[in-house]
Amino acid sequence: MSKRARRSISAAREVTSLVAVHYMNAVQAHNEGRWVAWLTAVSPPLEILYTLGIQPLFPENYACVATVMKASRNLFEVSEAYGVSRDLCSYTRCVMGSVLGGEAPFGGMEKPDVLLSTKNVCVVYMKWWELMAQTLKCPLYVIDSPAITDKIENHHVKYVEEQLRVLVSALEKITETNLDEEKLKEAVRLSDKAAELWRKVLEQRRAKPCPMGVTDSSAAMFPMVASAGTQEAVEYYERLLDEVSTRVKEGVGVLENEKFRLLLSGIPYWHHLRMFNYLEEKYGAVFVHELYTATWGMTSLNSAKPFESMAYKTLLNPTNMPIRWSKNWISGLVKDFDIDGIVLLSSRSCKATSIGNLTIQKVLREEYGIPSLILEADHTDDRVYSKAEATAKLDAFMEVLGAK
Amino acid sequence: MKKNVTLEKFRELFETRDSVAAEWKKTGKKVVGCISPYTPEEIIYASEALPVEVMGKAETFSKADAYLPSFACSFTRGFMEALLEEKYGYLDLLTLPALCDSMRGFYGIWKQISDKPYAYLLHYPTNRSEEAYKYFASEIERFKNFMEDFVGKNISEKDLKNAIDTYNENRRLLKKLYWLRRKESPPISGVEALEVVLSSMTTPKNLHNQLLEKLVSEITEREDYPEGEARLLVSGHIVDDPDVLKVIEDSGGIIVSDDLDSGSRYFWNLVDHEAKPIEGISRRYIRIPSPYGSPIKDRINYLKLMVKAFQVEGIVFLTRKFCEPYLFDYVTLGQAVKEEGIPSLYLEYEYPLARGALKTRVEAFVEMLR
Repeated sequence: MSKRARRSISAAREVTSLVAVHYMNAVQAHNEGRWVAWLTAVSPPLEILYTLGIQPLFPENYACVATVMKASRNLFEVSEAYGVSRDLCSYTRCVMGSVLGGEAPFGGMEKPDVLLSTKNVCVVYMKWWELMAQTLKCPLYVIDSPAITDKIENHHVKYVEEQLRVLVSALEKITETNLDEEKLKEAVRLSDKAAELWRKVLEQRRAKPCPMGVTDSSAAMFPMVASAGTQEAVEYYERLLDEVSTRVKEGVGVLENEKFRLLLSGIPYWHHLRMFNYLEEKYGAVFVHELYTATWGMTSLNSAKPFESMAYKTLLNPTNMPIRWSKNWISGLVKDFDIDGIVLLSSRSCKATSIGNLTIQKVLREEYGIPSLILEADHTDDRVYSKAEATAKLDAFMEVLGAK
Repeated sequence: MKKNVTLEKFRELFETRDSVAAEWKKTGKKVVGCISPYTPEEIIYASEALPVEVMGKAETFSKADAYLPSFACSFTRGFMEALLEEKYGYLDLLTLPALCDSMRGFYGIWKQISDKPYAYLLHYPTNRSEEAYKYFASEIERFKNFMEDFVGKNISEKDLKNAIDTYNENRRLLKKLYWLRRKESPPISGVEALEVVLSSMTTPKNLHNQLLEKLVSEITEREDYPEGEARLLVSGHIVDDPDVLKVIEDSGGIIVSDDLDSGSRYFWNLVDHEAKPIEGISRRYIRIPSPYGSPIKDRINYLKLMVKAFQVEGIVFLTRKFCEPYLFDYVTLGQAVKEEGIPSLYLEYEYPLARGALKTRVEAFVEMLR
């Protein structure tokens, strides 16, 4: 058994209250006569919303919170009874359950005035948002982001940029507000600053022992998701970086005796976060990086060219990039973070993040000799999940990596 | 029942599509795999290559399972299996529209494991806005440039116009054939209509046009009308095996129209002959009512129109296992037709077909319609 050096990063513990504040802010926005938007992660850009005074909410985050609170099962059932197939995205089923009046945490999310979506992560985004638009009778705007087959080219960026400008005009009209370009530039500057700090935080985890594990990291990404473009987010990541780098300086790690360094691919199984503690405590194995959390710090933004930057950020999303790109990215991380093995969490209801896993695993093994394990379950729906089976697979994998 | 010889010919063309493609290759020309109706085939035809629809039918996935998980849609798994078993050895190129996460994923995986056939991903826009239309036109232009390089032939405006005219002719004839099914006793069954459309997707269009012309002139006089009890419409994606519709028609229904990728959606709208070729093509393909980018109200309207025009009594929604866009749309479509008072049945299927179970459900549905 490996002893954990510290329970967790205090800045990560703050997140529970930040989440609550985030959901309350939407209620507050309505009290102040401002608009509330529900949007997909990463894009459409938060920077635009904050500039226009529109309060963002993230259905994906809500599904994740509901699952961590063990409140999603009933929501799945409400959706499924309505006709949403059990084979469809479990985030969708969870949120649709609350939209349809199922018993939901915080009484459900504050209702949106506008729905904003894209397909830079998945095509499901667009279908899911359309279904919500139908059910909630709410206006919907979708940014059509082309999948990248080789590299991001000028025509991709121009197309997304053009659509962002059209979106702004539409939002200006419905909210009867004019977008202040200078304010937007400032939001983009703050967003870039937060992303840079977040990348620095993640970089700190190259240290041995690793100062921050996956549980903290998955919590600490929340301000990137919900508040990029605000001063609060910048301050949060300054605090976090300070805390994490102090740990590095003092040689404090997640574990006193770190034996294995792992990389996580895929969305954490929110219903079984104990999985990470299990690996830490039983094998001294710590996740030193996640592809998921890194997604929110991928891009540098140039505040002088806000629309171009936001378009680029929309496109440069790992699931929007070719497998060859992922392969280079992952193999680079393996080297930089001195990683022993990779755990790929497939989700049966999330094709976008899972469909390529068998191929990625094969390529990593054949071209780089990197061992990996694929688990196949669901990121939120635990009704068919077997903890025992997942644990047995993790045990076998740790044995392959040389654990006794 | 006396068989119509021309109708038989369509079935034969479809069933022997692999040899049709192999014959074509003997002339030194290329064969290009398509996902219809979202691949602008006119560009391929204009480059003197043969566009052929690829099918995703397999009953086991022993080879595909190494690359695709069990929850990938059964179309992509079936197609992957066929490719790995080298059943598509004649394909020089595979054009895949980026319709859904399975198709995008499939493309990425294929790029990683093979370049035979070479895969080309075509963007298919989400919106029906002016920006989307313009971008789609530029995407088609890029595809045209790619085809010119790939085939080693310049595609002139005249080539494109000729392709558009040939395709429009095919569409006009198919539509004429479909209109005949409005009759009280439709002269062809749903299975036969599907074979005609599927063969159009795999046969050189000029040849198909000749045959269609013949069929349309004969069929009006055909006397051996198949008999059906309930007039049905099938809605869904590509049905790549006529047997799926046969199960329905063997259960007491006659399919009089459809909202299928391998049906009316393949040919219902024409390319505007007067427009500049690329623009005309772009406008036509972007308007196909589909779950991949149309507002859902377009699909609802299309369904309602079909139901009225063909005096449909009931709709059968067909979905392949794990097909996300159609599963999503069904939630809204199912409710929309219910509000209109149109009875419907939802059927999910995989290969091998669970004939007995499917039959029982359709029989019960038909019984209810009586």
